[in-house]
Amino acid sequence: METEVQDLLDALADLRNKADVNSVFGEPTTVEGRTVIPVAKVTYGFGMGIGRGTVPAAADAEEAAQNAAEKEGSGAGGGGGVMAHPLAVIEVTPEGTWVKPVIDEQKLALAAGLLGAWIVAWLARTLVRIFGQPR
Amino acid sequence: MDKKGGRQRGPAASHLVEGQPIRVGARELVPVVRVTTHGQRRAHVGTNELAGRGWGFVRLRPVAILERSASGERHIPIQDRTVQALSGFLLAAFVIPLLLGVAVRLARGR
Repeated sequence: METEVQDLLDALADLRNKADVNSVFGEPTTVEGRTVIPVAKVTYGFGMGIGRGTVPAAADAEEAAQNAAEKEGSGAGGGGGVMAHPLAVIEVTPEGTWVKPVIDEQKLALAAGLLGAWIVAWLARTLVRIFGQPR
Repeated sequence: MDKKGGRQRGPAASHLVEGQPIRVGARELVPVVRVTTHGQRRAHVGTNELAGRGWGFVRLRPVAILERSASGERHIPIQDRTVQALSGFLLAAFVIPLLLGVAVRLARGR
């Protein structure tokens, strides 16, 4: 039990150590005089639980015999995760430094489609309310 | 059964941190990151049981980069264009129905 818990704590400690400010900016890459540095927003999450319990005193001999095999139980569990989203690319040239944003086009296309459907629905509702009323 | 328990949960903490400088040629780039942390710990002690649990998260969001060169220091902001665009869409989703409601009122008022 102690070994498993220690392994779990070590894994979570490793995850926590990776939650470093410098993990947001990637390794610079230089190509033909231009240096490019990727930038991302990173989120780390972790959780764990542990418990130990003993079987309470038996009320009678039958219950005591039943509980004899399992007098103490324990358990532990945990997990963690990392999420990274690219945000921009920093380009460094002899002329200067620029930050070029990275746009998630798939997300924007989905949101634009939903917004379009939302607007069409409201337009239809509005036209019905304006022109659909009996005179 | 005698039970005692405790819970520790603090507010989310957020602060700006400067990272290790990145040297590129004659320039030095210093990343500026907003670090947000939050977590909770809970313990429970009973006559026949003992339990504890906890969770936490760390959010690292780049805010800007400081460019230090012979000509001085320049602050270059890093913005999330995707979130800005999505925020614009969300605003439009609220504003357009309001405008259409005003149009209906005006049309009925005639």
